Amino acid sequence: MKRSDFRIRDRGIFPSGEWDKGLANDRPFESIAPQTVLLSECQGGGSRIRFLCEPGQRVARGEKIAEPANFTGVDLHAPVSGVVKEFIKQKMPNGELTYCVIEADETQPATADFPYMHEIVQPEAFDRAQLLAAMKDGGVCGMGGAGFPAHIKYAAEVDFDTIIVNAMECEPYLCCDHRMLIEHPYEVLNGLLAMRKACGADRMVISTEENKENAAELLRKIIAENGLEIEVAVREDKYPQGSEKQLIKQVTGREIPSGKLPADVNVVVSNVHTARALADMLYAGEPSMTRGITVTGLVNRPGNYLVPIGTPFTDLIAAAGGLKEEDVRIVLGGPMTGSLLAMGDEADRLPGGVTKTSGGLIAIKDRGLRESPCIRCGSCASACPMGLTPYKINAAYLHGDLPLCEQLLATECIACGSCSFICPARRELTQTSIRARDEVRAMIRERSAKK
Amino acid sequence: MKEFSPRIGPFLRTSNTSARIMLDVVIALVPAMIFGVWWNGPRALLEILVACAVCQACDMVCDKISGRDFTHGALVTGVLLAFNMTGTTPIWVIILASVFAIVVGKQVFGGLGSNIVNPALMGRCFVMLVYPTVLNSFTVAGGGVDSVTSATVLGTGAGSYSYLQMFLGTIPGTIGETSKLLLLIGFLYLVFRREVNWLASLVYVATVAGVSAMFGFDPLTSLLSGGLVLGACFMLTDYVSVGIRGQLFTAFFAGLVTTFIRVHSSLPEGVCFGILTANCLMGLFVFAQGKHVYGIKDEIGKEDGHA
Repeated sequence: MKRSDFRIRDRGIFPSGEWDKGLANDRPFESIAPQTVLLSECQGGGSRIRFLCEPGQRVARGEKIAEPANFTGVDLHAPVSGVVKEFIKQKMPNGELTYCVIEADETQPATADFPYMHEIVQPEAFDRAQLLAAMKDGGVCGMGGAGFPAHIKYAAEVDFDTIIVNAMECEPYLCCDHRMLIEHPYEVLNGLLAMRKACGADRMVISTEENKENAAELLRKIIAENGLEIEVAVREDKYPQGSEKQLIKQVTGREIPSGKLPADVNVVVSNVHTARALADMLYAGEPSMTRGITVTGLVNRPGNYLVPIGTPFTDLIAAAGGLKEEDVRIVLGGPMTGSLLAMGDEADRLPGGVTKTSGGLIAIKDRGLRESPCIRCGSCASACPMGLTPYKINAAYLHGDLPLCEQLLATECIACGSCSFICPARRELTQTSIRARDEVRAMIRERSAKK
Repeated sequence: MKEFSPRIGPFLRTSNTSARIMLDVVIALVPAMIFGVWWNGPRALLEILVACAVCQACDMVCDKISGRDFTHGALVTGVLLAFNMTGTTPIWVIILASVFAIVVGKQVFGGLGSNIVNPALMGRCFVMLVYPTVLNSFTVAGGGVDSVTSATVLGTGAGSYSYLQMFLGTIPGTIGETSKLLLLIGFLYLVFRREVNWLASLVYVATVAGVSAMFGFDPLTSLLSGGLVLGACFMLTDYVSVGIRGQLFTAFFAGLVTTFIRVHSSLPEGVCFGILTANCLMGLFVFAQGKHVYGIKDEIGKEDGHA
């Protein structure tokens, strides 16, 4: 029996352990040279970009090929040298998206070696405006999942006092952030130093979990050798403490008021990959074109891949040796908050490719679940990191009682999935909470529009 | 209920299930059950089996009629109900009590998870009020002694039995309530499995001991006599309430009612009414459930209470 079965504690769950992270967390990054890349118009969250290239056009690696089409979009650069083949539509979990297909040349420019990859570099050569410009020109966005543009986040005119690098990676299975810390610690630290300068915060914290103790040791060693003032905080591995709100509370004791942003409590949080992307842009002139992704679960060779953005998911499954079983669901992202990409029998024709925010591709056993009546054990209420009572929201939503959902603060749900995970009656609490949240928000908007 | 395969996360689920929780409760009751059968004679086993069978059958029929999914929850009710009966209770009384417990105590409210009060206690309550004499006489068959009828500790008053006898359970009482030792062992198992709010149990027994002492009774005797430990460990903690802080208030209130009934009333035991009353008044304790929600200013100005 797994440890998680015994542990329900306040505000959080323990879905992870050696059995899932252990599949791939000692596998070094491998690189893949895809023949074609599939670049999505959505690189994370609700962002959209507009492609600037034409079919038949030759593009060089690092050339800007797309610009933001909405507020949360960032520039995209050709991750490979090659020829734009076509634009296609593909059905993704978050809707039908346009993809730019680039056929890669057989020989790609060699990647150079730079000093910032092996030593600490202080960002003395740059002022704040230059750093923000580098974030913008490098297409740097929040690579932990939300994909929010870094140059907007760091440009907030707020007296930032703390910058946190989110290395929690609390989702089960995933370990690409872990590998990034171990294999590219200088890039991450140099990126952090630059981000600190961009926001002006005094306190720098890298927050991680006990299951990444070796990475924390390595960082501490480098920090001590270079006399840096960076805290490395190691926490018990608990889900979902890598969620921005929970992380900020843990590090600073502050809570982001409902509807506000981290900047409102003078904190900025960035992912490990984001820090690296900024360092690459500043010191190598390389815009955000690669990222690490964990391919794991029921595949023959679970592993981590450092790949160009746009690497087709099908290539990744093939690189991992294919599926162990066909009866699986292929999940994009983490197993708690990710979405269903395809069923196992579609593994050789998966839609889409890696985006700046895809951290994992996981094959998970497909099993039917059967909802049974709530036995009012209260596990979901104990587990909810936001302090909500999911079983009540569930009942209220199923009765169509949106005003009650509002009273129960369904609006605050962060969709982490803890309630559904822990529910012994297998109720779809997360799903109803998300729906209740969205419908209540719509109701509130309608109400304020009427006023 | 519908079957589904998740399209959005979480794709992982804990291995714990409702059925497993109920099985755990039954497992936790087994030590006390074995003792009860040895101490009260094989007839006690018959009573337990009849109670379980009738409860389960009733539950299935009601679920079928109302179109609900069938569950195993009634087994726990059956065992607990039999635990609250004496070794001499007529079988037909057990059958009636089982039907009453499931139909009136549970199913009319909507079945599993919708009941307001503990169904097993409803069954016991029924017997106490309709057949009051049944629960006043006990047989003691264990240890080679011939069957004798004797009074409960609560009835005869302290002094007749040593604390050790009361703790081990070699005293008259209902089938499941006498061996405090084995009940506690079972309870520890549930605590280990994190399936009960042990703090609520503690509040309950502490309230009973404290208030009894205030009335001049020996607190230890109050703890070890009657069905207090059984009630505290297995019936107060039954999931009829929610909200951890709310449960503590409920436990305190149940303790008060239990003691007052023991002290002032002519009823043989107060545990049953104490817990039932507290169950019914659960709504009053909603104020205590006030959990801190992240990012929301607390109206009452409470700190993060981890409730």
